[in-house]
Amino acid sequence: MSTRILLFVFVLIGFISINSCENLQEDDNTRSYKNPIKIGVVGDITIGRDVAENNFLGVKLAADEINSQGGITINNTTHEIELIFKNSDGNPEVGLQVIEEFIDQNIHIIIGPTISQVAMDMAKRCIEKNILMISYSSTIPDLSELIDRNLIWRTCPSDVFSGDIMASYTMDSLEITKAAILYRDDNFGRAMKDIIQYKYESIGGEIVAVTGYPTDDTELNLFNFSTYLNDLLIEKPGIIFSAIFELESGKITQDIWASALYQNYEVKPPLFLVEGGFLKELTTNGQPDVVKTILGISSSTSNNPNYITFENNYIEEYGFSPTSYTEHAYDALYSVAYAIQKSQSTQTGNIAENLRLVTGGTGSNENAVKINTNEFTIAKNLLEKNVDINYNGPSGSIAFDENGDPKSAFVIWEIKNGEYNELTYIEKR
Amino acid sequence: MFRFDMNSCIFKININKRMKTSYLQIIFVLSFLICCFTGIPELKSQEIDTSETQKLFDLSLDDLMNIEIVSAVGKSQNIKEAPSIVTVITSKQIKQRGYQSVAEALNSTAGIDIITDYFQPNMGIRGINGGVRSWSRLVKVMIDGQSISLRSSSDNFLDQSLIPIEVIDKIEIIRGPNSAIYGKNAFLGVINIITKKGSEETNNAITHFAGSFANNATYGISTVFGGENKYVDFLFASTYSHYDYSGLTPANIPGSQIYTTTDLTEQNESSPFSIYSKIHYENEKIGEFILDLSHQDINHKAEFADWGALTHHNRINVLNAYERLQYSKTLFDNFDSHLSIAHSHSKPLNNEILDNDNNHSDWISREFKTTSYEIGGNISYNSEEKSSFTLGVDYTADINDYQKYYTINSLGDKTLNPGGSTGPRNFNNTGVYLQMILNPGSFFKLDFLNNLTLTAGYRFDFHTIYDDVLTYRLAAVYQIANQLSTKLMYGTSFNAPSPAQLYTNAMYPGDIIGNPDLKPERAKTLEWAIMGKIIDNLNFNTNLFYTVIEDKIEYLLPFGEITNITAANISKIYSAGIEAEVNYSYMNSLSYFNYSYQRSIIERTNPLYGLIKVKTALYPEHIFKFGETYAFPKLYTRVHIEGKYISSRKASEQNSFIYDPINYSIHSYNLDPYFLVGVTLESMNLNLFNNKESIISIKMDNLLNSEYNYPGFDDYDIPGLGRSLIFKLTQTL
Repeated sequence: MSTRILLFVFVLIGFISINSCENLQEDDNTRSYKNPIKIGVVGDITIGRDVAENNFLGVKLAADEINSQGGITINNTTHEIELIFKNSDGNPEVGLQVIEEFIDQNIHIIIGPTISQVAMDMAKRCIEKNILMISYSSTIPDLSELIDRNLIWRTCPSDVFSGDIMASYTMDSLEITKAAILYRDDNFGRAMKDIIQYKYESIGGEIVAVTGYPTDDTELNLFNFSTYLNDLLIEKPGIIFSAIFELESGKITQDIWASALYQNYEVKPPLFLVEGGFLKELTTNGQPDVVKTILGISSSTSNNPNYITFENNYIEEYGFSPTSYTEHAYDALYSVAYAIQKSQSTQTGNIAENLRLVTGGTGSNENAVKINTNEFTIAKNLLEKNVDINYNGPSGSIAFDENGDPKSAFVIWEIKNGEYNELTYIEKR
Repeated sequence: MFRFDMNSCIFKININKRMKTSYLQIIFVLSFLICCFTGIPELKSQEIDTSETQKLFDLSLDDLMNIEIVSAVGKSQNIKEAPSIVTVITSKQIKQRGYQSVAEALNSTAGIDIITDYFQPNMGIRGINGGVRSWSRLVKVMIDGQSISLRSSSDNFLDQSLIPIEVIDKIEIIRGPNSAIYGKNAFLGVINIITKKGSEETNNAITHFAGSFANNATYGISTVFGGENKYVDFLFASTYSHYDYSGLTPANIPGSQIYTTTDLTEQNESSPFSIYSKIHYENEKIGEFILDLSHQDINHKAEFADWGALTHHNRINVLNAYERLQYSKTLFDNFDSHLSIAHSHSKPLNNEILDNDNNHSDWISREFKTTSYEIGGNISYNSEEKSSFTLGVDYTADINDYQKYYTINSLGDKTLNPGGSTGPRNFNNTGVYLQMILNPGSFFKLDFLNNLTLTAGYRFDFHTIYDDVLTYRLAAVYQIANQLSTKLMYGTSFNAPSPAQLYTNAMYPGDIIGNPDLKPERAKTLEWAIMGKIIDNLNFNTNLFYTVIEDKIEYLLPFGEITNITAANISKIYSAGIEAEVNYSYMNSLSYFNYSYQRSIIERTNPLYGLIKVKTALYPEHIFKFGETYAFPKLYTRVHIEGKYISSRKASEQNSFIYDPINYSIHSYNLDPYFLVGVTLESMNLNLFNNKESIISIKMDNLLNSEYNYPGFDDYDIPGLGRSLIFKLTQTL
């Protein structure tokens, strides 16, 4: 009998201990928000995971900073920003579904998506549904052309500018007159190819070969690019403009290195990459001899003090560096937050009316007080006193134009001894 | 299809998930109490002749309760006095239950859950599984004290390639830490396979088996020969098996329709082969010498490889072997000494092909090679019958050619894949340990402490790659009554990062790469056990454990700047549970039941959510296993029925990411619970040739043809096998 009592006590103690131990309880760290202003954040995680996730974190950093400084005050009531993250999966249909989900949650402000392929369809639906959308990395030029009732914005520059600069830099600075283009055969890739080809040929360059690779239902990090690359290499280009994503960039460098045609070149043609978060992918999975010849363009320019501040904040918060477009995502939220603070409203029309005014854009006050990174409280106080502000974030001067596009600053970069190295800075409007 | 879903029964009464769990626990506790206070007295009222059971099974409950083990403290000790939670599976149980591999035997014990990808079993223990590309690396697996993990990755291969099962005398399974004596990788458990002596009469036999797995033919042959003369005892055994797991379709994860019924594994063959040999020389004057060697040929197609499912091209073929010489001698009256020298080596064989797509014009080859030299010894002073002091030293030199992947193109050109790092080739470790086992009653002449045994052990490991590590343990074992004892134990342990985790390059862009900054995983475990007899024919062994793991190595999915999956010390795990084992004999039957309940919480920082605490993936919360062997002496037959209920478990993080790419850390899907039952029929006392015993057995697994899935690590889960049948004939010579 005593053995059984002992066993009973033993088992009872066991179950009580296990179920009452605080360390053994789940906690997903969800928090509640004071009078939340809900903002949807969309990224194409499945397509460019590291870029999309860093963009999410850029937006989150901005929201956390704003909330920790008292949030937005509307009519003397404090509102915190609550972010709802969703994946648009690189698929326009999923993007549209995400909009419906946001509408169901009464969310009318969307930051994102990541890629142009999805952005166009989402933008059109947002216009229909009176939703304000502000993308941080959809660079497709067509986004500027939409009749959007001021509902569609972006904090990243259009490909028109980056394509122009790539073509001009190749002709003027590198003095290469024969080039080829490798591109993703999707909306983004085709548009970029057209821009580069038009500009390059218009300034006297010759595009000797063009090839696009499929992007649907393909694991591009495992794809065999040899055929496509050989189609270009056989025409002996001096450089290969590459409208590609980071996902496949490492594999492309491996496949080009494996090409006998490439190896036969006395001077190997460099790849000139469009904007993207290529650095880690190339240094991890890229073929080192090819990687050291690569050039790229980026709108993340570290010659801007606000970028340095932002980068330090970001590293301190997350323990790693931001990638391309992260600062644009961060600026997207700040721009919206300042517009809400200025308009004292969360109505999309009111926010849209004020986005240019708080960022030094078209029609804004030239004497507005310049607001830098880490100055939310100052800006909020000024706005509460009806003083105009001009937000300059880590992207630089945003200054939205009449199309909802920002002022554009670029850097040409290379990878030198395994490290990112900025070669030259170029501004364009 | 048969499904036993305990949770769904409770769901019908419309209660939430947390309450469901509580209800399940209440049901268990109530069942236990009913068993204690009502059922057992009923059983006791029947007068049972346990000696008859012993005669029939050549194994009694007293044997099991008083079995001598060596693994807990590195020397022979009664299991009741061992300062560890130990389960022993004997050769007789292996035979009677029809186990074909060590993995099968382990899977019948409490606190252990084994999943498979049909390349290798992957053993989880006490709520934790090593996860992707980690085959049973949370425990130290040894043959007579010699570690047999693949040095490059610390994986343990528990299938038929591990050792011919016929040479196993017993498997000592320690759940809990044991680094204080065995050093690295005796992390969450130790599996020590004790081999037979050549002189045992059951040796000298040939076994054939044939049958059907997944509707494909399977077959194998094993031989074991042994003998002795005056001083020398020898044993040689080999086994070769062939399995074919073709015709299986990956299970889509919820919301996915990637795989259809036409997507099938093809030629998914396994051909494990192993040799074990031992020569034992013993002379009272000279001492005892043991020379043993083990050769494992791991040779499997891998259709469920995480890097490429259904490529029909992946074959993993690895050699893993060791040779060892041991010398033991009693120096003076109370001093024992032991010396061991071993050489081990491992590398992939030429048959190995890795491929991540269905275009077979190019593929991937892997290179690694590890040569290890080990020397170790200890000296023990046995002051009393139950008191001893041991000082041991061991030195290991692993010479590594790190794992490297190459791409082979259609012309046969070989290119080194990028990624990863390189480091020093030599991994050298010096371990020094001190262990004291003390019976304070006899040692200090204090009679009232006669029933208490204390154990204290400390070990320092000095390693050339990662930090030096101190591990220790303290334990008290107290015999409360004649048939009842209790143990209280606290110990620390560590799991060293493997060379592959530190330095491997990528198989393909995005694949796992090494992280040279990895630190050892460290665990602290508190255990309390009670074992004994409730009635003459029922013994029990139950324990509570609480483990905290620091610096747990996880395969970090790409995040932030990381583009490849990378091993990283990123989490902390809290795990607690209760394990209960019951052995029961009644007339012609011998039964076991065991139940494990565990709750394991992984704590880590997710940049999007901050610090989160969620249940560990891959491991079920409740496991219930049972088996009953029933002898029919008049029919010369023995029947063994065995079953297990596995509750639902969280999918792998890799699959959860596909299921919900943003919230995967806190929002996973669960795999369904399942119930499996199998039956083995075996002949008894059958002499077909020359008066030598012939054993015929028929084993049917998954008798009810239940459908179930194991967790997968790509975009699918791995289907379990349907009903399978093995017909086996063993002829002793």
